[in-house]
Amino acid sequence: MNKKIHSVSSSDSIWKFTNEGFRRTRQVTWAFARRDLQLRYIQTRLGWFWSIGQPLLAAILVLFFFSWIIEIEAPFGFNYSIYAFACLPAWLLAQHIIMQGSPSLVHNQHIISKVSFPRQSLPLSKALVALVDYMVATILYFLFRGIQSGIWDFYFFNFLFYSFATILASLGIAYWIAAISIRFRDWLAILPLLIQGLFLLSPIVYPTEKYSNALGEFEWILYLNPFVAIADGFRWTWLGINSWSELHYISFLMIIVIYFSGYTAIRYSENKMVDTL
Amino acid sequence: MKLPSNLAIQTEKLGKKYKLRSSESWALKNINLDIETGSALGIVGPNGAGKSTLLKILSGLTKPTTGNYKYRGSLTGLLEVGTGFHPDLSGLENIYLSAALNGMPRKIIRERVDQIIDFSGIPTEYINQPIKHYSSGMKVRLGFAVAAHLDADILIVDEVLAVGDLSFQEKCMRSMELQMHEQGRTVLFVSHNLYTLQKLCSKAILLDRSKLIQIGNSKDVCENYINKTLNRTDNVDLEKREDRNGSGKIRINKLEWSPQLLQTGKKAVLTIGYQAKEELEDVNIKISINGSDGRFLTPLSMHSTNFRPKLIPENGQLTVNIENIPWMKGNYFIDIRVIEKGIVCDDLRLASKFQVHGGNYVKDGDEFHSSKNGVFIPHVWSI
Repeated sequence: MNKKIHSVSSSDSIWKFTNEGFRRTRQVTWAFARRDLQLRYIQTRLGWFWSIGQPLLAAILVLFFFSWIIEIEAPFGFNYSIYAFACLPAWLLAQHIIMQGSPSLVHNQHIISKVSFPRQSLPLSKALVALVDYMVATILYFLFRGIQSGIWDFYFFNFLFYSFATILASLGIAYWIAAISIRFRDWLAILPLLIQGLFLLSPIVYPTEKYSNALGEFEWILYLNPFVAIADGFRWTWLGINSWSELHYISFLMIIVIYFSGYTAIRYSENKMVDTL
Repeated sequence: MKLPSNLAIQTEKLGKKYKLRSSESWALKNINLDIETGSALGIVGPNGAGKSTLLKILSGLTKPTTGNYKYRGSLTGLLEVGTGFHPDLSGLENIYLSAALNGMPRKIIRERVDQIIDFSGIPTEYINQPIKHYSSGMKVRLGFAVAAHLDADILIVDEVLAVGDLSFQEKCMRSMELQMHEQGRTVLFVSHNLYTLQKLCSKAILLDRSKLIQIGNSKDVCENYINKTLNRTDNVDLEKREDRNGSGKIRINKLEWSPQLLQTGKKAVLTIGYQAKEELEDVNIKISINGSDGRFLTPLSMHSTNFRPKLIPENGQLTVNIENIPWMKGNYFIDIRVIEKGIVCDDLRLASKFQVHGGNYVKDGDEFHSSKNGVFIPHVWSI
């Protein structure tokens, strides 16, 4: 008998990584993601059409409201729709992860209190599901941009980098809210407001340059939002707009801070979760 | 990391403290335990003794406050049947989901899925239907089938065998015993059913008030547990017992036989005293008479004798008349449960003990000598 010996102690750190823990995370994440995909669009009329329909509707809404009603104009003579939609797939990805990932622990508490698995798998599985939609939305934008402007180039590594940054930032936020909402459900109540605020404060449908209009020399406060770097990153990838400034370092730093602090929060709450739920 | 080669689990000074609003309480204190590979260990103890806390710690659901434990190989906690089942998914999809949540690799699930379906006995035309269309019995069987095929080296089982129909329970027990003997699997088993526990486990531990009181062979431990609980009831009033379940709307405070000397075949009256918060409608009292090995022998219930009083007063007494005591010589235990409109108000296990002295069930008949407990039924011989 040379089976592996596992040890659990009251003094284990939350940063203890084991191969077994990693294997479990991967396995459970896939199982939950598969469940969500199988359950998706059960008892809907149009089914998988919604993967295309959702980003289309979001795009029409943005165009209608920000371009026609409040008449925001894109800089450098870009067509507004091409300009604004560049960040839209990433925003929809972030929104999906935060919206679904944050309440995932509370919604699955009956499973959490009976089976032990790394708790971060639940928000993580929502991110996997969101990636499916993200791919569809990205392809739609790629076609739209190509047809509208005749540009068909695709900077793969840039795209990968900023997609990854989006996932890190939104997972970090989802981890935080998921961990806290175990004790304080209030956070789930204000979640829609939080997402709406994040959308309006991020330069997704308007240029980042508008920030200086608002706060002048305190402009840097707005760069604490990780989605500033992400939005400008995507516009750089898709449209070649270079609007980098030193303030963007703050935003990049925040992506890392939010992800790792969120991860710590969910690992920390993991040990108390079953006692609190 | 060191673990003696014959052990599957070793715990050292394991403890768990819960912080309540103002006070702290230890649910488990200083548990040192060595469990051998391939053995089955039963865990007994009154409600609130720390049994489920121990299971939760060992299955990794919660972290110990003090101490540590080591285990060899893979470990699966089975605290519920059919964990993770989703009503909108089909039986097949649910097998994959539940098995994966319990730690079975997908490759192995794929190999075993036919066995699992076969074991559950669910017809193949149903297996692709959403399980919301299943009967509750079918769902339980599907859950058990998954559980029986998890090949963890260590299995922690909490009372789950108490559901499902009897023949299927037996099938699961047999499958568990088989795996223990053939594959050297280690099982930890918590149950209020002392009979099942003794059948499955050779060794047992007794927990009481968050401490480990006794380790030994399961027969001794169960006997000790029964005696301890009853000694407590002899000294302490039934009224003062706190190890009860239920909403507490009504409390049983007295259980008394008359005459005090009970004999097989003679008349007896059981008086049940109770105290309620208000007058109650639609009350049912269910009593189980169990043998000294914990095996359930006789049900006594208001509704099964079609006794349905409209209203019972706030506090008072009920009596059960037995014309001929059917029980053979020996010791018996009473579990009692009060149900109001389908909700359990009071549930007291091992509420009291009584002794039946031998006697003849039928006038001038002989006594049937046996060391075991048993129940006579009226019957007639002819030639």
